Amino acid sequence: MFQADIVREDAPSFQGEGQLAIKVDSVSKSFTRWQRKEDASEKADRSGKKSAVEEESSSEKKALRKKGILGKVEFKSIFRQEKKTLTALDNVSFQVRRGEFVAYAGPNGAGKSTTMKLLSGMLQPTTGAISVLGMSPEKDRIALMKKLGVLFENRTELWWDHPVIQSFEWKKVVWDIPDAVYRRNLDMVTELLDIGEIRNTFARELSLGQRMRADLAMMLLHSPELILLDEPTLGLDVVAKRQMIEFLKRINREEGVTILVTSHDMDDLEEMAQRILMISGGKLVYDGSFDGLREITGNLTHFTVTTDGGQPELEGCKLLGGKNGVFEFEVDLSCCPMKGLLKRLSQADGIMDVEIWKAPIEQVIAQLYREWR
Amino acid sequence: MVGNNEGRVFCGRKKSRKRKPYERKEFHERKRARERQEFRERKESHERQELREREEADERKEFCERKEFHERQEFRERKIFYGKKKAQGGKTLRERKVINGVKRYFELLGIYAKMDLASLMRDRAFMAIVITADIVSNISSISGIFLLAWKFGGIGGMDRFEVLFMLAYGNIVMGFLNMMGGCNALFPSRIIGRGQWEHMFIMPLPYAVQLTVGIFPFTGSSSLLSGIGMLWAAVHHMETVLPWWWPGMLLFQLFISMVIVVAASYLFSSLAFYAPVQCEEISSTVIYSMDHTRNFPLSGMPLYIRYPLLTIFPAGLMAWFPTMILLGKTTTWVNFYPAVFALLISFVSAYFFRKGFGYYVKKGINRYVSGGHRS
Repeated sequence: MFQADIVREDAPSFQGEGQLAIKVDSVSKSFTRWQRKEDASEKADRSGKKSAVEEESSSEKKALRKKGILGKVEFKSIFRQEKKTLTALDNVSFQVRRGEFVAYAGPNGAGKSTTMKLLSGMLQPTTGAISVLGMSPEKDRIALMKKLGVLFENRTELWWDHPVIQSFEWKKVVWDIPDAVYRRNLDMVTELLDIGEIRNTFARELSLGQRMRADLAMMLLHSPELILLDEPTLGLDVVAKRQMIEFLKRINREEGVTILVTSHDMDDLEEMAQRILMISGGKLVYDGSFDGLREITGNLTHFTVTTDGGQPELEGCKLLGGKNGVFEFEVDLSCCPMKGLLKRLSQADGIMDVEIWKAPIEQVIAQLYREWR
Repeated sequence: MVGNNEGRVFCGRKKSRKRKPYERKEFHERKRARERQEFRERKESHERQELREREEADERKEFCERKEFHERQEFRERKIFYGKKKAQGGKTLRERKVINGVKRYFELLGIYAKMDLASLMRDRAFMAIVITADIVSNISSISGIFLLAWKFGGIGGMDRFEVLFMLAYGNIVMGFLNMMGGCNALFPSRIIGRGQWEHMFIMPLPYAVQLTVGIFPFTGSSSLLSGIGMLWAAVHHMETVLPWWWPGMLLFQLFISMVIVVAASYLFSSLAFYAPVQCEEISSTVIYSMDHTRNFPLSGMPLYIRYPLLTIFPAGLMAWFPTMILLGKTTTWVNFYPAVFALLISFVSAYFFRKGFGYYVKKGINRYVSGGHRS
């Protein structure tokens, strides 16, 4: 259903080169990986499909395994290793305009980090072309890095055995940041990210939240035009997460910085981004708004009904749970329109209160991930 | 129900009921409203389309103008760069670029030196212990050979101060490389295996600059300092009269030896692009083996030992062979051998390193791991 690239509905037909922050054109990326060979019976064991003969032999195998005879067969597999080519990205194409805040999501191993690494020039595509801020990450690496900010989940660019401010000074020299720009940005990030107290602390002594803030501050010192964030809120507590989200939204809104962010926390992504790109099995499967995503999965809506005690019978609605006269239902508005739902609710007996809200985006995405497996 | 035509089908169409006058009016009003609404929507859509087209045309125009401007700018810069036209300040762009490049290089050396000094000055007692321990360990690592030479009045045709000279020469070579290679620049396989290369990708500096600016002059110079001290003592005690060009020759030979060590390290490190975990320490294994072997004077050794140590495992070119050249104990044509070997091994290692690097970014398994910059 979703296995075709879905083009943005409001995407204009002409994308001026100057207006594009990212242009990924039919990019594929393959890795080579050494992998131990499996014999046919092992594969069948895993897949759960056993023939009658194999069923018979598996009991014999168990007996042999107990005696330690079958160890030899498993030992053989150590010497039978093969080189496998893994396709991390398969013909992926998308564009991001300047000033956009785009979420990039997908299940584990879908190819999110690979895309980020390709965009930041850490990897090169097997086929296809990538343009970031009108430059090639491969050919114009030095010029691009002056305009690009990269932050990968638990990777830090801070110098471990030096105070944070020392890393900032190092960055100033390496990125050749003019004094005025450096001072302005340092003041800004110190205030907005509240890093005044940790500026003189050694990076190794910072907590995860503090380190992430320091890393984010360091990334912004050279006024990047495009920021690539790979799971920036991973492991952060609620306060630190809020601080980071607010900050990112602010720099996107006020400074016009283009942001591409990946995360497994879909609620965070929905709060931050205006558009979501979804990838699964190395293929881009969705490009559009969060509401559009909800519609694809059936426009699920939740509602809570408070009654005088009895459970209301609502046709077409799925009961999720209920206690003490409060019942939670799920309804697919594409099958059962709101008008009909309200009619049914008004006809039901003993209803005192009704509260309706959209299904959490987490649930929508989880449903998609399950379908893609 | 008889005679009631409601619900009956006539030729596939339901017969419409005759509307009453007030219903007709309402119907016409609704129709007119719908038409007005449709007209408005069409108009808005048309206007939006027009606006979008105008915007796109503006974008195209702006893009073309910018492109044209950049092309003009580039052309002008190229003209200045090739010296046809002087830029402001009386210098061509090429001259300014060179000056800026040198300035930037020293700025980069300066920030690394500052960071090294800051880490050393954290605690003065710690600083004193680090420096003393380094100097003692460097001297003790070569004292065995020197004491043997002292006891027997020399080894293999080299007198005791010539042996000291050789040991000092080797210490200077390794000391300088250790000092300049503060960020594991001498051991690229470690950079690859530990996922540090990815940090280099996102720095706006050429790789060659990144690998040579990580200077640690305060914590990494003990071997160099002890080597210079020992060299001075050896030269002071030698009876040979040195020609005026000898210091230049010394510097040249030191440079050649360093090139050989670095090239050997990069040659073996290129394997780490294919197997980052297994080959993480391959460069340090190679360099430390060469470092241990370079202390032995090869004079008087059989050829089947001497030749491999001057070719396939060039530890002899780290100290012994250049010492023989500097002391005038070789024939003239042989004096060019280290330079030729350095050139060859540099080309070979550059070829394989680039090939490995290409494989790593195209097909290899990326190892961007946590830990940040490490020395």
